[in-house]
Amino acid sequence: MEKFEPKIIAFLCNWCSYAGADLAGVSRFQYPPHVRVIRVPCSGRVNPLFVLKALYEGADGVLVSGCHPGDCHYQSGNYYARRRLEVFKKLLDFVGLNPARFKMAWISASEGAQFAQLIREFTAEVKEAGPNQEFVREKADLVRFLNENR
Amino acid sequence: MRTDDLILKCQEAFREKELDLFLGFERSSSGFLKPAVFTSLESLEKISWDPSASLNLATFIPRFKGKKVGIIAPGCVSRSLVILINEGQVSRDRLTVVGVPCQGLIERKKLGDLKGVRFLDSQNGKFTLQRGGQIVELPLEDYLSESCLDCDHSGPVLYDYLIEGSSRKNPSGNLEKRVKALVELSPGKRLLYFKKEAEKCIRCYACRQACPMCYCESCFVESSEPRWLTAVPEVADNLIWLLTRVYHLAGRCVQCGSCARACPEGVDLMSLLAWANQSVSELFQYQPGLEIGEKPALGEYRLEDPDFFWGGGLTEGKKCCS
Repeated sequence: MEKFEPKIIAFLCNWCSYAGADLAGVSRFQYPPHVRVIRVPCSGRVNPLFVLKALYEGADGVLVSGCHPGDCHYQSGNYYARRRLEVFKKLLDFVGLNPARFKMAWISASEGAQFAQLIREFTAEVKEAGPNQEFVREKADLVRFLNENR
Repeated sequence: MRTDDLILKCQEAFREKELDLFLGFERSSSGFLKPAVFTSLESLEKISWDPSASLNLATFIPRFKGKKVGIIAPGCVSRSLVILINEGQVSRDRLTVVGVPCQGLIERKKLGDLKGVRFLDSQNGKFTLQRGGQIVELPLEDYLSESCLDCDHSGPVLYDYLIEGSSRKNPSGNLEKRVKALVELSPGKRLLYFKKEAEKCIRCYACRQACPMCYCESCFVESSEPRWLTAVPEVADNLIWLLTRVYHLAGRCVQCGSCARACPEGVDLMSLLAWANQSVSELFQYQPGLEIGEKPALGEYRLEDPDFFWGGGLTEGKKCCS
């Protein structure tokens, strides 16, 4: 069998976590290459539908990261995100989705090393969880056919 | 509660408060109550309330913005109204509430085939039906909807006029037990259970239409840019619909069961909604629809909220989920 190379989508806030990821890059910290970054204005911008849609489109893991509490560029966006994503994560766990697939984190702009560490940990967890089977589309071929013949 | 009292009280409210319209129920041709809008004193003579009603009337409130509206409300409807007021969908001074006692509502799916069935009357914990020329008397308790069996706020929490009468007591606690049983299952079994439920869903969105909290003018399911859902009857799509609806209702749902009664396929919506309410109340000590002026649980925050984020300092070492 081919080695499992997971797809991970990371929603990083513009002000802290994205800069943290940037710092990890310029500092030449090594971390697995499975993560695809999507920059968002704030962790509070992350609609839980983003997470569902990513899983639905075939992501094996989703990461949301923002500024530490108290550090939000917009004062309170991450506090809202904290409540909402907490409930959402519990909901995903309740319906039986592997808890390893969705992770939330705080990464500041100075935490390049922590960002690399987070990605190493998360990638290992997602690899352990295996390919995303929970949101498999049984009629995916039909969807593709309809999309192509619109 | 006598129907005469109800009519007189509603007419009194209509006259005194100079209402534009009044939301209530009237008898349909099958004898079951159907929602109705009354616009005059005379028409209010047809207003009626018994366990054969199904819909949560607060659902209609956001449609009559700017009008002075009266409404009859048992416990769950009054709680929905509190949330609608808190969320700015209606102002308290344009709303006149006639509180009614509630013995629970019948889940029509429990009655089986409804062809040729006529609802006649309900009294003293029993109700009578006419079925194929025969009159049958059935115990109300066996035919109530799950949310009503579990109801712990059967009397109105908000009213201007109150009709005296006894409301259902002793919530069964079955829903809580069912959620607990689900939580104790392995994640794989839970996923299987919810996928089976999602498979039943035909995405008719009757649950959304019947829900007083689903008042958005445009819903994410109809959005074409971005397109969240495909029109293909796919379990994963159905699951996204069910999950997102539950998430949107977390900490806002009063568990009136209006959606579950409206669902033609009998999808287990109540266990999801009850679970969501339970976790919001555990996390943020929040009960929806009991206090005017309260913000929705997910529309506010506290600095000392539980923090399960990676790299968060507040609750180091604690695991998010069991």
